Amino acid sequence: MRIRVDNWPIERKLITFSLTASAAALFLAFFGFSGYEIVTSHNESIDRLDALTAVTAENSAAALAFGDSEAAHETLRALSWESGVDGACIYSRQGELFASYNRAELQVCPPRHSGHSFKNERTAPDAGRIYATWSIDRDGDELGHLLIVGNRNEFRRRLSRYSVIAILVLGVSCLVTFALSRRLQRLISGPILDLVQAANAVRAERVYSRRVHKRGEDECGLLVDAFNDMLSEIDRRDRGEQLRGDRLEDEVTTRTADLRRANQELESEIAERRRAEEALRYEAFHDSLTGLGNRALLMSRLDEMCQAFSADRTAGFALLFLDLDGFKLVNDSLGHTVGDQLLARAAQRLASTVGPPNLVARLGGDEFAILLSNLNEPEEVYAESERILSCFSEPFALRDREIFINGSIGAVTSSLNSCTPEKLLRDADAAMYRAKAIGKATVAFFDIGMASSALDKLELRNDLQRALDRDELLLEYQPICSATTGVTVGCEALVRWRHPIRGVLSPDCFIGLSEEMGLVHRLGEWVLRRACAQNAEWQARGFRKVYVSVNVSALQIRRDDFVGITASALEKSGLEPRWLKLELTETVLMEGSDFITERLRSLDHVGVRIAVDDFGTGYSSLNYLRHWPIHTLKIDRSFIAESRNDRAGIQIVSAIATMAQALGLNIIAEGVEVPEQLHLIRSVGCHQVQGYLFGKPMSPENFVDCFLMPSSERSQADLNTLLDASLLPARSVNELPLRTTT
Amino acid sequence: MRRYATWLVMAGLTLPLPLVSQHDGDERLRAQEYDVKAAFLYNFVKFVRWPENVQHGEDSIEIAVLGRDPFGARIDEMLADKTADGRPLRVKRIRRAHEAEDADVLFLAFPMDESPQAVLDALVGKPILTVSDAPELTGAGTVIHMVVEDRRVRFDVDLGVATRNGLALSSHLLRLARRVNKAPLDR
Repeated sequence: MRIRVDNWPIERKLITFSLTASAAALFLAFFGFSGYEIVTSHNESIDRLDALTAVTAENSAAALAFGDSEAAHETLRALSWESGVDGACIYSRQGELFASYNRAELQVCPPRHSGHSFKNERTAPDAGRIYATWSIDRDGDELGHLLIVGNRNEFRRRLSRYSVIAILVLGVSCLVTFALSRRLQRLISGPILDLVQAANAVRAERVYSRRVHKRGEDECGLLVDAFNDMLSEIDRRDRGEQLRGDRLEDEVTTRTADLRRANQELESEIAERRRAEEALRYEAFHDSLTGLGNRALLMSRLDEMCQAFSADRTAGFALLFLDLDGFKLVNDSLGHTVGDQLLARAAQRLASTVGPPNLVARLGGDEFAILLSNLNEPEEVYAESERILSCFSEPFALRDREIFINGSIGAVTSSLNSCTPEKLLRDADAAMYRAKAIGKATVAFFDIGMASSALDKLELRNDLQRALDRDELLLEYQPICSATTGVTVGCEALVRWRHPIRGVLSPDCFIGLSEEMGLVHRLGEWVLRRACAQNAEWQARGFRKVYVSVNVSALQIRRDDFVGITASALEKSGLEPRWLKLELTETVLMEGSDFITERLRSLDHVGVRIAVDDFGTGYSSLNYLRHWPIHTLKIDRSFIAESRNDRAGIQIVSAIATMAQALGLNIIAEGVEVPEQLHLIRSVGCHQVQGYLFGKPMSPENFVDCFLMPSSERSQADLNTLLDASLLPARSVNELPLRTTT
Repeated sequence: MRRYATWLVMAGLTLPLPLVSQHDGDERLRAQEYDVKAAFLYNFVKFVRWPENVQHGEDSIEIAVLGRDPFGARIDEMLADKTADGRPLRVKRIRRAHEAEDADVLFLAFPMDESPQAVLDALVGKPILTVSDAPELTGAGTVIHMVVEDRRVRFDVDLGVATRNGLALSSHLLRLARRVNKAPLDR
């Protein structure tokens, strides 16, 4: 069975180990010393026996020599003093017993002893006896031998004495060890038991102010200190926590009360705010003058309906945009107060006529919007619109007057592809304008054609402002070629707007707008400078020299700095003036007779060429052609387009050509699209041609590749081919072998 | 050779017993007695130490017999191969005392031509072991005087004479002596 020493009390451990250690040490010492003593004692007795034997042999030699056995006996008797000798025997040379001595009653001497070789020797202890023999001789003569029989009594006596002493010492030392370890145990486990007792007491009583008495400064003392410190710490924390707990409770109570109060305040505040919000909300969505819904309410409702419609296509609806006709007159003549009253009354009538679930909203001024929730078919919408307008058939009685007003309605239905509130409203607005244009007090439906005029204008206005800054404008070039040789002689720079969303826009879309916004000057200047710089670059790169033709608007040329800007553009680009041609419409030239003359002279002075664009469309006085420094006439494309079918067209072109030749002017035919036209134009003597037959407006890079590179020169043969092809009546435009511009 | 020695010692030990059973007058007994005495002579030599500086003429131990020789040829045979202290023993018979001057041992036999006293006086101080056995010479002044007592050969020792002659006798020998005379030197 294995003994679990770990579970023993320290007392038992200490005593057990101490006793075991001291006993083991003593046993070892005892055995060590005893062993040594036994060996030593044995050796001593042997040595002593040997010595005795030698001496006795020497002493008995004479007696033996002279045959004096009595003397020999006397000699042997001396051994009686030796307790370790049991007997001694002297044998003659023949082995006869000569003399003997026996202790007490012992008979140890055999009658004969054939000391086989009389050598000095000693036998091993036998039955507790040691036999030692020694030869007896005198001066080399061997006389006999001596046998001494020793015992081990002395050895045994010493051994037993040692054992007794060892046992006594062992007993005493065990007692001492026991006493010492008891004391040691008390020194060690005493303080620990104190600690255990204290810990148990603290746990039971929960009194942390208790302390353990320290007995000394040893490790146990340190342990006691640590324990006491721990108790102090716990005590301190305990008290602190209690204090904190009380304080916390007070604080919680206070805070709870505060919170309740704050909550009440907050609730009343929220109620207040909710009422205010309600009011605000009403205000936000209603018109204060008429009590109708406002634009925001309309937009919100429209948004909902658009979403419902996109989810369910059968949930169609219609939006009417109503503008009061003649309201402005009332407002201006009878004053705002009457105007407002009129608006309020009109609103009342509208609301009562329309009725729920349809919505009437005032958009501002004399503009109203009516949202018809369930109507989608144009016929129904038209009928409803007529019904609404009929509410104005009775006059309004205001300030003793009878005021007649009417309304124009633009209508739009949800069936359009894109259904967004803004678009619907804008389309309805556009339709309303159409209605007004048709005749007042009427209804018009929106169609796609109305979109660009009204809506694009609005958006482009914003974008154009930044187009110049953002470098969104670019120039394309359309070739102008010799009618006789086909060689490219010039090009017309045409401005384009690369709109980030709408893509590339043509000037028709934004030139008018730029004039409205006063941006045309910047735009025109940019085109002028860009065209000059581009042409100068081409020439610098060694391409064929061609002129570049730039359109100038009426507003541009009226500005005083126009000539200066032109000169600056030329100077900055390094382009020779003769390679720049300014195109002015016939209308422009006619409008400002005096200053135009001066302006054209100045430009001529700079050295640039002047061309009259769209010649033949205005009411030109042919007289000016003689007085002004005009270089070129560009025959309007309408004449060319008609020339194929209309004999008159050709005759006009022919007449212009004849006149121009008479005045020494160049003629350019615009809009040449098919070889047939080219053929006609050549036949009437036009110098240069411009049109899709030769090339559409294209990017500078393409223009260089197709018309300015040496390899791209149009040869006479090519031109003839074109002309030949034109004789074939059945050929359509698309099949003609034209240069691609891509 | 060792046989003789063995025999000699045996004789020394066994002779006293037959000696006891025989009468003195018997010649054969007498011869046996002197065999023992001869052995005694030899043994004496063994237990006596002569002075270191004594240089005898020959490198042997000389045993001189003065007077009528009682030993006969036996002693010569007995001691023929014997040695003492590594030296051989030799027996010579002399008539006059002065002949004994270079001997180591002198046996005084009786009767002799000269007065024993005169002989001994002449040898006083000389390193010679003088031995006698005749009853007449008892107390005459020899170093060792052998007697037969209880049919055994015993001997007396006169230490005074021995000392005067410069001889050292072994204590073992003295212990065997019947009587040891420690008389003063004036003897």
